[in-house]
Amino acid sequence: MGRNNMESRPPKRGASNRQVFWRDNIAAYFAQHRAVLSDTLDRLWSTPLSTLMTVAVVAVAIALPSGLYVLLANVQQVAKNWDGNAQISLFLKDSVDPSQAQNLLAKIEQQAHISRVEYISKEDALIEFEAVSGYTELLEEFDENPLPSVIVVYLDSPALDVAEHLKQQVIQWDEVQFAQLDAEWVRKLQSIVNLAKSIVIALAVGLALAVFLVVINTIRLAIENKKNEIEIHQLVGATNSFIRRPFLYIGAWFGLAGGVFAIFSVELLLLSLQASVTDLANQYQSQYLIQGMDFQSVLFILMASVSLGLSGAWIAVERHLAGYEFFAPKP
Amino acid sequence: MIQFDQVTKKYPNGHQALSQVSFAIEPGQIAFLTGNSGAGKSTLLKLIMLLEKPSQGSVIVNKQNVAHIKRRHVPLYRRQIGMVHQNHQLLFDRSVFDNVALPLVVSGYQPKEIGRRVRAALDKVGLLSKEKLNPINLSGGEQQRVGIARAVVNKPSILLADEPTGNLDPDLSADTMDLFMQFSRVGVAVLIASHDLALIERYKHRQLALDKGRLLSGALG
Ligand SMILES: Nc1ncnc2c1ncn2[C@@H]1O[C@H](COP(=O)(O)OP(=O)(O)OP(=O)(O)O)[C@@H](O)[C@H]1O
Ligand SMILES: [Mg+2]
Repeated sequence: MGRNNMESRPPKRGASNRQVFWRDNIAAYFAQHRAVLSDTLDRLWSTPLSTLMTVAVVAVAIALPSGLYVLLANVQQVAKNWDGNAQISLFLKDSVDPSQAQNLLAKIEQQAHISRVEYISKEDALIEFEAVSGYTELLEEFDENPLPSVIVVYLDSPALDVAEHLKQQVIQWDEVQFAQLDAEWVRKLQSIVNLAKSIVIALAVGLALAVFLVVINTIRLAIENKKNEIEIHQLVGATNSFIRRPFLYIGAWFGLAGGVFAIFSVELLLLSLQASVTDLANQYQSQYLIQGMDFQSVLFILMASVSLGLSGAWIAVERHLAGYEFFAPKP
Repeated sequence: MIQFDQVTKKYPNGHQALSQVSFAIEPGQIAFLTGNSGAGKSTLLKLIMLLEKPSQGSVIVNKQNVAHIKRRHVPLYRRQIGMVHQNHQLLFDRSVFDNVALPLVVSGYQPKEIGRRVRAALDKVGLLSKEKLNPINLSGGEQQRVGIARAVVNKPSILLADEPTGNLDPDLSADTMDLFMQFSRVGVAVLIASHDLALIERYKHRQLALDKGRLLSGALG
């Protein structure tokens, strides 16, 4: 008897239950969330060590790829801002004397797309090297100056094919030992950075998985500690979402705290690097301000870490709840 | 309101705790479930509460065959039943007030309403002055009364009580029975598992007598 009206509707509430208006429902809903919010924070505070450990693991796992990524973005920025026009360095053979070099200069200046040329004799090269590097003793080890004379050719075009064409041409010349297209170096750097970026992304995925597992395990332990409480809640009619809620909050807290710590440590790292970068840039008569994370990246990191925490907690709770044998056939 | 049809319960270890039990309890009725230890009283109550499932037969509550209740509807189903557990099932990391409030909190009542109802329930069991204490600091009888307050706080349409007077002196037992009778007068079906013979004798309510899982008498109330 009566088995038909069971299927479609949840059971009727007790006859004496007062009608609860929707406005009250919403107020009660927010009150519940507020309670869970402060309750979970209290719970985390009450076990500071294990909370801190989990947060630290999450923070490190997020800071590592974020930090690497930001550094790479900076390298890429430097490469992009490299003096736009291509330049070719011609390393001259030892046998070439200064007057021959001057002839060569004149010859190069007649070529198309030349902005200017610069001759750096071996002696000048040595002086510059010592000034920049400070390694005076190093070169005294050699009997004679090991540095070659160099002609730097500045082109008036950033086009690589123009530069490449010129390079192919001058490399045929007898006086030239070796020619190097500087844009080539920039291009190589670019592709290395791109490769490194993909590696960092793969690393990030791996570490995200690790964060995920750490959160699942931490929440699983928290559930284990609250097993009795969960059971009693179920006895008095708590829904799965009610049971789930505090653990989702805990997962989200882990994610948020980990993300915030990660962002702070990356910014701190960048700040500490700025001093050495400034030094380095000064040597090249240049300046460079390290770019920190922009608002979007910060938002992305926080959202990613919070969702990792949330989903880890969700899975831990689902696995626990699935283990419960409610007397009811699965729908 | 509660109807058992040829219900048999066999535990996974092979023990048959209930054998072909049939009876029905109407709204407003009070019945004692009696029998020796191990007769199957708690098992019968657990079947109603969906804490166990019958091996055979059907349990019908409020015209619903509980075997067909979907998993996600189990919590709603349980909210219409108040149960006093044999082992109290209290939370010892929160106050008496919070323990009694639990059924209301999980049902999403407003804090103001919760406060009002919890105090009313605690008043009925004479524990209003202890609402801030931790149940661990209460006597066995007081803990039992916290469990009773929690069972009635949601104004359920069915009340199940598993040895509700086990730790109570005669006066408190009488108070508890009065409380249950108040509920039955407003249409609540009350089923009390007990082997407190003095109590059972005194009240002359209907008796369902279990013996080794069989219903000896009281099937036709
Ligand atoms: N989960 C279980 N697994 C196996 N056997 C069980 C389980 N629960 C109860 N039993 C057995 O079923 C029988 C009935 O148990 P039940 O708890 O219903 O008895 P009871 O009448 O409530 O006894 P008491 O008055 O001592 O509380 C007992 O023999 C008990 O050992
Ligand atoms: Mg029992």
